[in-house]
Amino acid sequence: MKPCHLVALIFLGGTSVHAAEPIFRESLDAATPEQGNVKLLTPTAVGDGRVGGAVLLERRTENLLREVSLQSPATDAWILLDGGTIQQGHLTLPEGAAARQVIPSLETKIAGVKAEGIYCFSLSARAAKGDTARIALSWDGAETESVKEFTVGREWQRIWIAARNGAGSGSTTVTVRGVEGTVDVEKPQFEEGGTVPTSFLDSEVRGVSGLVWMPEENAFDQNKGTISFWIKPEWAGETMTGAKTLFQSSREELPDWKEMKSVIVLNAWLTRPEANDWQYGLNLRITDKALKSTSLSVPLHELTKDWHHIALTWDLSNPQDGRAAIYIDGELRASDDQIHSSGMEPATAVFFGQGGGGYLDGWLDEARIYNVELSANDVKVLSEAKE
Amino acid sequence: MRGLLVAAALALSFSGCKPPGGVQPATSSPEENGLVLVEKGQSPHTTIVVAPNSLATPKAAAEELQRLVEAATGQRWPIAAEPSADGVNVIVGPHPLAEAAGIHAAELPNEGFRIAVRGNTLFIVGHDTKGDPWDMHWLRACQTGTLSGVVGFARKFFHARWLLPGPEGEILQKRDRLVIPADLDISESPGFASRKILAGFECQSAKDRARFFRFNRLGWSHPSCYWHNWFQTISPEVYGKEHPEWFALVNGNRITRLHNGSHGGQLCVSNPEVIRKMADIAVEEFKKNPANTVFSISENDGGKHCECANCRALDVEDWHPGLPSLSERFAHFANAVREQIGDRAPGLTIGYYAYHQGELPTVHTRLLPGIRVSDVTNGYDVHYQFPERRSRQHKMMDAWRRSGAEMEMVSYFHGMPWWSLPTFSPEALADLIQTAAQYPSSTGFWIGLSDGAFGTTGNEWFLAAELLWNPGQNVEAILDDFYTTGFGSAAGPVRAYFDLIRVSFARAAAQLPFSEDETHPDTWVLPTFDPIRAEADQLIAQARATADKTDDPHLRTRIGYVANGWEWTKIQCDVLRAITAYRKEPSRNKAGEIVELLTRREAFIAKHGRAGDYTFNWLDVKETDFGRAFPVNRSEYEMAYAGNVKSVAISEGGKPVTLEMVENRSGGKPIEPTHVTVSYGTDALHVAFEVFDSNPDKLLANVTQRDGEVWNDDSVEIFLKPRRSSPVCYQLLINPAGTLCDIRHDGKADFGWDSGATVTAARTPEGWKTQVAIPYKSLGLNAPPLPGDIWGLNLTRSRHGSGEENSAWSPTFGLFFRPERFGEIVFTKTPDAP
Repeated sequence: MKPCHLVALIFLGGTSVHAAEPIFRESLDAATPEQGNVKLLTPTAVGDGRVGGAVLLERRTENLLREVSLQSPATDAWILLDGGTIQQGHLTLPEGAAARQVIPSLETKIAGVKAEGIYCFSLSARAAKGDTARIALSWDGAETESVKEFTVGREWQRIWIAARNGAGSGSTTVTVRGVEGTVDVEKPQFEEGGTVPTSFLDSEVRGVSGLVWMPEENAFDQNKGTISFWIKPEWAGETMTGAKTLFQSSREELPDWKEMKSVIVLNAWLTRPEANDWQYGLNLRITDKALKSTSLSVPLHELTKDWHHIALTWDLSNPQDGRAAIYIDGELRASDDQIHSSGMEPATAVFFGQGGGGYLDGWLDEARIYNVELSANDVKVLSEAKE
Repeated sequence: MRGLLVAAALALSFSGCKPPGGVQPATSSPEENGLVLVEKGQSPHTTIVVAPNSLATPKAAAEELQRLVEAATGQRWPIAAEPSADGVNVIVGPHPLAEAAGIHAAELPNEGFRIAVRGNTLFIVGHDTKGDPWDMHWLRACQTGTLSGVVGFARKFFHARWLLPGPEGEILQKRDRLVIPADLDISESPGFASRKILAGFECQSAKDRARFFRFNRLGWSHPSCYWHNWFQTISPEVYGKEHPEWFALVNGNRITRLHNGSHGGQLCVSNPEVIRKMADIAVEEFKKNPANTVFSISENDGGKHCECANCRALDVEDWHPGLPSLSERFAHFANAVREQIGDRAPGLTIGYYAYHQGELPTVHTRLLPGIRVSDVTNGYDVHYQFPERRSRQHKMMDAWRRSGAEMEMVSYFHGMPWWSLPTFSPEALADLIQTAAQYPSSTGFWIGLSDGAFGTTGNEWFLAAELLWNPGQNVEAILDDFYTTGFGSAAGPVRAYFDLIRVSFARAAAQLPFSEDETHPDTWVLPTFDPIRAEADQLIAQARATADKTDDPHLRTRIGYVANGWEWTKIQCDVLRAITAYRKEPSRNKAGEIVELLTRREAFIAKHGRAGDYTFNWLDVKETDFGRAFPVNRSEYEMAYAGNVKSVAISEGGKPVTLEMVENRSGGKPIEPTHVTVSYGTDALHVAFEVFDSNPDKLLANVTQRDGEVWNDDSVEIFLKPRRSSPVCYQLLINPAGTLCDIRHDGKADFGWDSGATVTAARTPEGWKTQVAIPYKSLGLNAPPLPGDIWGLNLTRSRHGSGEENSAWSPTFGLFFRPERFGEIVFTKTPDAP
């Protein structure tokens, strides 16, 4: 792998963003895509974006708790101990009180989903009285004993505990306990497949989500181009297994990873925060038509849960002298200008927020694709989101 | 090594181990002065002659000769009681004409034969004894020298070979001209007096097997069987009450019971009354059945030996640290019994197993004549890859020889049990047999190889049979014979395939840490076969391509057996790999993969696991699965894949829940049911068993000591795992006497843990019952379980007295202690609580 150049480069060539028109553009102001050959699969929500509206794209999941509604005090599922009560749509737990729920036989209803064995118990909590309170979440059935305490304020905030399942397909029990002060709890969720929860799901199963474009043959050359989009990641600052797939373009819809020819993938790997490499970073991987890969990575320690602009630029027209770069918020963060490549075939399936089993698990806005390599200045302009 | 052996063999002459070959005359040109038996497809008038008063063997031999000649030449020679006046006579078996020609059957060695031509007469005469030549019962089998002579004739003149049972395995060259040298005079006799190749389980008829054995010159000059016998001669069940002092003192108690019908219940061998009793029984049995010239005084299979001062005074060294060698006391016992027998049973030999704790040669005691030890060399081929193991083996055999013992070697060779896989180690096999042949006191060899597994180990079987008859032969020549005879134009790829295994196995075995543990050989399987998989596939494909071109159906079948044997090997490797990965990190996906692999495996066994198919020995495979607790039970993985975990919810003070047990190996309905109720109170968990048994009078409840070996009795067990994030488990065993054994598991078993459990037990007309209350604090809990708590739980039962059966609430498909197979108790709210 060629070394990454973590310095700003002056590109000779490139095209002004004002002269270039994107071959794909989706503002995501609504849940309905603007173009005919574009699908927006099951966004979790539509809300305020960086520019206009934006969509929340999250992984397929299922709330495995039997009872998430906290409307009725009489409940078979919730075990209330030592003064815990259900009232006005939420649990109230004075100091020492607890609420538990047994989830029988961990088994996802989502067909085809590989059981990873990682589960996340999450809920929203706030101090019912006073400025702060403390609450503990625990999960019996995890591989290692998992108890985590949180301090919450008067505003609702989402908290969670995640671990690898040690109980096989047996039952598991989640517990929330008031440690100090009185706490209100709502929107409990127990889901498989991530150490950062998706947004609250009160119905059974959330389906596949993502922005999908099926370009006409040769519409997206892939030998050179720019990808530009905004994300607001829910997972910033967290660690987890697996990858968040932000972007993927390929010849086939779901190429086998061993056969990924002419594929461009941008993943966020969040496995080891101490690693100053792809294991905690954005990783761009371009695999040409001869299965030769080029990889660039940017450590992600500074990424926050706010809006961030992501841009990828590349030009592999010259087999001996190809270029690729990653920009975050308009700043060049990684590049390589000595890429040897056999070239790319045109893409026939393009995904934002989804690909290879990974999902963005965050907000997406203003997705664009250019068939030219934009300059650093052009990227800077895009990152200022003036249009 | 082989050069030395040939020289040594020629130099030696011994009673039990004969030098190979015999008188070999210079061969003159048959065209000049040979005896013409077949010319251009025609026979002169030739008659097979058998004396009217012959034993059964010459008669059977004559019929075989007729059949073989007809198969090879198309000529059918009649069998008559009288020689013909003209033409050629072939005298089969002892006969006055043979005596007159100087061929004296009585002077032939045991099982030996002589083939000679005198004028117009061919003599095939052997040393036979009374009995059915096709009955190879260990006691009844007779000597069949004449039959071996016919086999020798066919081998020499038709290149006849028998590579596997049945017509597919009988191969001989057709010829239209058969001329025997006029001065032919051959004598042969076996290298070992007892030659057995037997694996654990038979998968073809006794008659087919007997024929196959006889054509390969297996048999024995005298009966020999040294089975574990104390339980049949001096049983604690019969004598234990009146004479407890006859039985082993263990931990201060005389053990006056057997376990599982034939195990345990060892004798106090220093007790003079035991010696006298054993000698009397030996004499009595010999008088009842004088044909049985061997009487076994072998220990029972398993169980602790006597620790009394007199027995311990006989032990002079350790076998392994902490475990005494029992060789000296066994030898002392054998000598004492021998002396007690005196001259009351002339011709009787006493024999015993010298293996495991009795395998080391004696240090002080020299065995008296008329004593034979067996099982010396009880090792496995993977061990013989280690030079130190071979060297140790040679030293052992030499030391036993110097102790005066006659030795009958036993080698399980591939281990006990094993999966009928093709491990090919001819050097190890030859070294075993040829080294034993050096010792005059080697009376026999029993090798554990299956005759039903031609596809995987046919070459080793053939090699073993050849070397047992004539240990001085060249190993590569034997193997060459096997491949070229058995596989025709496919001999090249078949030989290359087995040599590929030979090298890979040696390499894999050499990288193993040296261990005597017979249960470890699984570690060589994947390192042997994985690296050669692609190349073996190609060689087998070449062999199959040859098979497709031949119109010899038997050749096609033999090649097919080898090809299918490789298919079996790959299936077994895939299953072993998948199950190992699953054990390391269970997952639903892996369980699903295993279900698919097991389906393939079962289909293969269903297709090839039947009498008449010699791909592999499927009975050995099934027993190996069980013996190694190898979890191939599909139900286990189907359950894991489907996510079915047994679960019971109980509430404090609520109605107890009743659970049913299933048969532990299959998950099906048990013969004898067991009902269990579980409930929980403020201080303890309550478990009550109702154990049904159709024969309650046979219940075993011998253990009365707290933390004793309750598992040897009829018993129930409770397994608890209160914290699922912790590996700590608790186990309680109870027998019908109410004896408790409680154990805490935390990486190791701690018998010192006290559960504080309250136990009551009682026999009932239907079986027995027991109630157990286990206080929470002994489980490390300061308070009762909270609603929502989930514990791991299993409940199991061992039935011994009225028959062997294991049951469980959550079947483990093997050993009971498998925490990953525990079910769960879910503690819930009390019914009335809000």
